[in-house]
Amino acid sequence: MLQPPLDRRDLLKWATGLGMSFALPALDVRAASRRGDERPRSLITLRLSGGPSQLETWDPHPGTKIGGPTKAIPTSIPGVEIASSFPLLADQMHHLSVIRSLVSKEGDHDRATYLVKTGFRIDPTLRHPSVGAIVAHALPNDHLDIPPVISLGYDNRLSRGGFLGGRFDALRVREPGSSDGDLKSWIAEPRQQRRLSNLDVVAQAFTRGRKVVVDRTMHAHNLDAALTMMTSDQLKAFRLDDELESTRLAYGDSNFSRGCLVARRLIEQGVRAVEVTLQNFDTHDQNFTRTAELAGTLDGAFAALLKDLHDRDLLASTVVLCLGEFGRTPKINGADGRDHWPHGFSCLLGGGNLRGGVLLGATDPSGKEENPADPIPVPDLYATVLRALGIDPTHQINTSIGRPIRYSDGTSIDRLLS
Amino acid sequence: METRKYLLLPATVVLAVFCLVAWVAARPAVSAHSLANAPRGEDVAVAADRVDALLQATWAASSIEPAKVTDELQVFRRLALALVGTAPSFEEIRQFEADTSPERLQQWTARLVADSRFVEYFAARLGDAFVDPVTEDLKPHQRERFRRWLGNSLQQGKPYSEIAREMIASRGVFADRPATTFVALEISLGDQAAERLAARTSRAFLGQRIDCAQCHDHPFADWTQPQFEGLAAYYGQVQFRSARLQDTRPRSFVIEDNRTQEERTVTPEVPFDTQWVPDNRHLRSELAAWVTHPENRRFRRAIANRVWGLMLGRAFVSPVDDLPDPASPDDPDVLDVLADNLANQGDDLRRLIHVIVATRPFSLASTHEALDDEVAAQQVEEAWAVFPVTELGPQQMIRAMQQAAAVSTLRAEDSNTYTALRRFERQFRFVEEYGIAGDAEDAQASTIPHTVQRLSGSYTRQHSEATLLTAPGRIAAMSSDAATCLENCYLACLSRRPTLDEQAHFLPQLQGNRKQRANAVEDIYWTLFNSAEFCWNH
Repeated sequence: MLQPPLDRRDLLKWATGLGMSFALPALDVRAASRRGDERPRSLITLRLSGGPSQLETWDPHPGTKIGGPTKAIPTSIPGVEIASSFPLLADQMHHLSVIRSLVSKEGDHDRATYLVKTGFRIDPTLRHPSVGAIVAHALPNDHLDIPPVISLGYDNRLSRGGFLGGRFDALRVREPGSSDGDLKSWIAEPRQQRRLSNLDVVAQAFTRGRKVVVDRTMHAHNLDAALTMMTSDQLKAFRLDDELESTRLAYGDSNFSRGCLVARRLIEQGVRAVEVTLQNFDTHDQNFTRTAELAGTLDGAFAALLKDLHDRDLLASTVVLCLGEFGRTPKINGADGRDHWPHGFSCLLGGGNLRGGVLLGATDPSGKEENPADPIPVPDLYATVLRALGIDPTHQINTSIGRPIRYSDGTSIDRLLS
Repeated sequence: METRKYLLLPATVVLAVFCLVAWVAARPAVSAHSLANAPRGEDVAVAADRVDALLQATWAASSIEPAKVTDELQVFRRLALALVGTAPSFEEIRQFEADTSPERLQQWTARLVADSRFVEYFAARLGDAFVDPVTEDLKPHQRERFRRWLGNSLQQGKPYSEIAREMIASRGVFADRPATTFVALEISLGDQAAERLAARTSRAFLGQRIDCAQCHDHPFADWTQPQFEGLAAYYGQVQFRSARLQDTRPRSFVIEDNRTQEERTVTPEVPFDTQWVPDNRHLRSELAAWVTHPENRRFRRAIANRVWGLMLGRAFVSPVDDLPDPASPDDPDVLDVLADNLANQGDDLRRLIHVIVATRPFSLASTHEALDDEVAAQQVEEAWAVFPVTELGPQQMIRAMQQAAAVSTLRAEDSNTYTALRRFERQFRFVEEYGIAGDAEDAQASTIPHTVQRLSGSYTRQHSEATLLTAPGRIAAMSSDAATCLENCYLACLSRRPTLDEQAHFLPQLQGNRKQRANAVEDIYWTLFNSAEFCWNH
């Protein structure tokens, strides 16, 4: 292949050398266009909400009593098979590692979701920040007009900033790529201007005699930031009209797949953590048909995302994690379904400093042994994800009453890190 | 003979139904704690004076000049926000201003406590202390049933000690006895339910975070791990089967150490003052009696602190569930005064509310010259020498918007079912979107996404729209002149009249034809909804 005569970096050098730096784009635009591992890092989480069956996804046991009708296919990782409803992803698996032995003590949706969102069990005295909020806290980006943590799709348990503060709450956009949500003003420009000038007048009356307190409310600051965001060019990341038709087709035509494509556009803008939710994995009945149907949506979008990130040299700076809050029982119930199972469920992860092609853990094909080989507690997964993003998981933050809490209580899994 | 046989069965059924109806009808609709023990003015004033005397002594000792007393309409706004979770309606403001009684605040307090919105709002906020406000394991109708039980109990003056005993010790069918929600929710979640219940019991009822001792001894207070485990053992035999909460025979309770995963057998034991535990065959009843014992000062101090927090936006001592040990009885502090008064008056929380409203801090302005300087501000704020400025909760925010968009007072019983349901549905969605913090340490404050939602979201748009049916529309169409129009907008949204500067700014916008005025009113509503003054209690 022919090398282009000048790449972007060379051009930058030349331009600086020639005293032409005034002609270069502003610093933040340059940062956003950096590639590879020099680029600030981001986390994309594909959240399979409801608890996907490990046996119908990344840990099939075909031909066994517990395996059901699910078949397995080989993947681009030698010796590793996944369920046959993921043919496109199977070709991209070398970018990822597989854990088949995640364990937790939470078999309830609420409590388990809290655990997989934060890396901590529910503690009634404390609201932990989501992992996305932790990443945004550890890797601040001053050039971002939009929030650093964004949740796409129908996620009914919003990721929050917890004790790190509301500014790390996720911005939720339920229908990414097809609607702007409430991000744009609905009122015509001259009236909007009148409204904003009105606000100054009312604010003056309230500030009198309580300046310190009103400053502390951050009300004015939030207004400015919100208005900046509503008029920001970065909002274009939520729209897909300037994407190639072929790219859009590769991701697929579902709310989830549009979310995956928007996720890539958001991290290009420097958003630190994006989660894209695919719901309805709670298959207490008709597990096999329902999971296969969801696989149809997940397979194309996930495969296209990996390929796209890799082609754009973004994978080295982006950790991609795909998991649900727990797995499902090896036993098939009377309604052809599987029930909640937090003892040995699976996830996929890759990108950033993570190695590809590693397989960890194994579950018993007979389903008799509850505990998997090489059990990995959820906090260890997150300590690893943080390390893969260049963040020290043992870093401590003080809560509002000065209680020191670590980014993660887990121990990172070195076998997964490069 | 044959005919008699045919008649026997229907006759028995008729008789049985008759007896059942008679029995149900004979049961009092309102329980024994009637409205008769609504507080008497004088007693309330005496208790409030004792609180004020303690505060004044603190102010004098640190040479703090308290803020001025604010005007009563602003106090009325605080009262409505605290008790019914919305700013007063346009209708209520008119009624309040027409009321010339010197005791109007006290009368309106009683009126708002008896309002159906008190059950919807205040009971829900108080209930959050006992039943996790966030969990989705409790379905909305189950949460609603619990809240209604709590709210009705409060409105009927049922002693708080009895309310607490019912929550801790009730048995029976979950759907039938809402008090069982406190225990049933945790039991149904399985794993470590007894430990979670011990933690919740000590935090909600005693204002103590004994649960730090689940893994280690409490870092600041005297709680030890065995104390925590002894408390948990009281819940060791509760079972939730076929939607029934019941206890098996008392047996030893096995606990797993959180750190070492070792298993230990633990017997039920309260952490202090074991002499308050009666001899009862039902373990949870023993615990309930101990928690609510008349001499257990932590119990009433905790609720006094919590209700203070609901009334003034900030608990007297924060965090609300980690209170210092009670002082010596000879040297009572503010919480002791409130707690003792509560105990002397039959544990009636309505009375506690009246006392708190009558204390000086509730009527102080939220402005103070010290609030221009960070250090000075902190001093007056900590000493309760100024009313705290606190952010409205999401429930208050949406309810206040809905109320401002309506001319008359929004009560479920005054609206048709469809309208009322739609209103609740919007409240539910808004709150869900906004998120609630509960008691947890959580630096929750208005965020940029919240602000965006207020600036351009559908809630603001719907509630500022000037149509024939909404307050903005009617204010625009019916106000006699621009000045009245502006005043009405301000009263509906901020419960005050515009300042001269504000009049000078807004009046020119209200000139012009009907359409232009309607647009201007929409813009003013939008402005007021987005102001800090609307979003923060003051």
